[in-house]
Amino acid sequence: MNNLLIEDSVKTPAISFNGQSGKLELRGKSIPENSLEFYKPVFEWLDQYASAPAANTELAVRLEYFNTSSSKCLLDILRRLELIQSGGKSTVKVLWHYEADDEDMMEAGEDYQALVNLPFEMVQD
Amino acid sequence: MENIFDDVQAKLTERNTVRKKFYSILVEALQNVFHHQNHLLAGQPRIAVYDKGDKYWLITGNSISNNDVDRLADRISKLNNLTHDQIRQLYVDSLASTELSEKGGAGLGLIEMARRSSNKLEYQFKPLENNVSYFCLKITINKTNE
Repeated sequence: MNNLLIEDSVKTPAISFNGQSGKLELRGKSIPENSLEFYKPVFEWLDQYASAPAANTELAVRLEYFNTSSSKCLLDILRRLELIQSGGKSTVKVLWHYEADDEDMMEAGEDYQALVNLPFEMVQD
Repeated sequence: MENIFDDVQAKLTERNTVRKKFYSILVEALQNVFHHQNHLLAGQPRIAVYDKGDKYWLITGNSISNNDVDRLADRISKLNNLTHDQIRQLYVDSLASTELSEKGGAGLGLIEMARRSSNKLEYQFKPLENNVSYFCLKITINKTNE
């Protein structure tokens, strides 16, 4: 299936989702007022990807910060990955990146780890 | 709104993590004003940042219907009585159970600001006319990470 490539903007992150390799990346800042508008195509792509995922799916989250509106969409992305994992066609992993002394971002990763049933790797940059 | 973010960011000289913390709170505070300010009601939305030596004060103001005052005051005073860990748990529980509003709000802004700030949120309601009040919120952000 086609890759999903969205350039970053002042308020939204770069999205690079590769359907062949299963490598998915969110990078930058996510602070749109209405995150649903921005993340809708991301959800749609994931729903399509779920029907024929790569053998390994790896989501790298490289966000400087995200607003609470985005936090909900992030959870929805992770829930979709949970479904992909339980579908049995792909092993899924999340790489949660955070800067060395950014405790807030590290905590955020731990929060998501507690909420979803996916292997998380916390990566200090 | 972007200009405000850039202006503020240019003026902050603290280390990266305090800047990020400030920025996150600023985003939530502004987006709350954006989501909740009712343009038909009296009272212009406002934002001010004060450098207070070892901390910053971020103050926002927006009009609010009197019907919403008690509920909001209640939410804030409950937050002020929680420990950091309790606020964090409240955030996680709310995140898991909430749906986005049609304007894109997650109902988590206050919790997130309380969590990031590590200081009590201060607030005030000033009655205006026509069943409307002006809501001022002050968030205190420490310049050293603790």
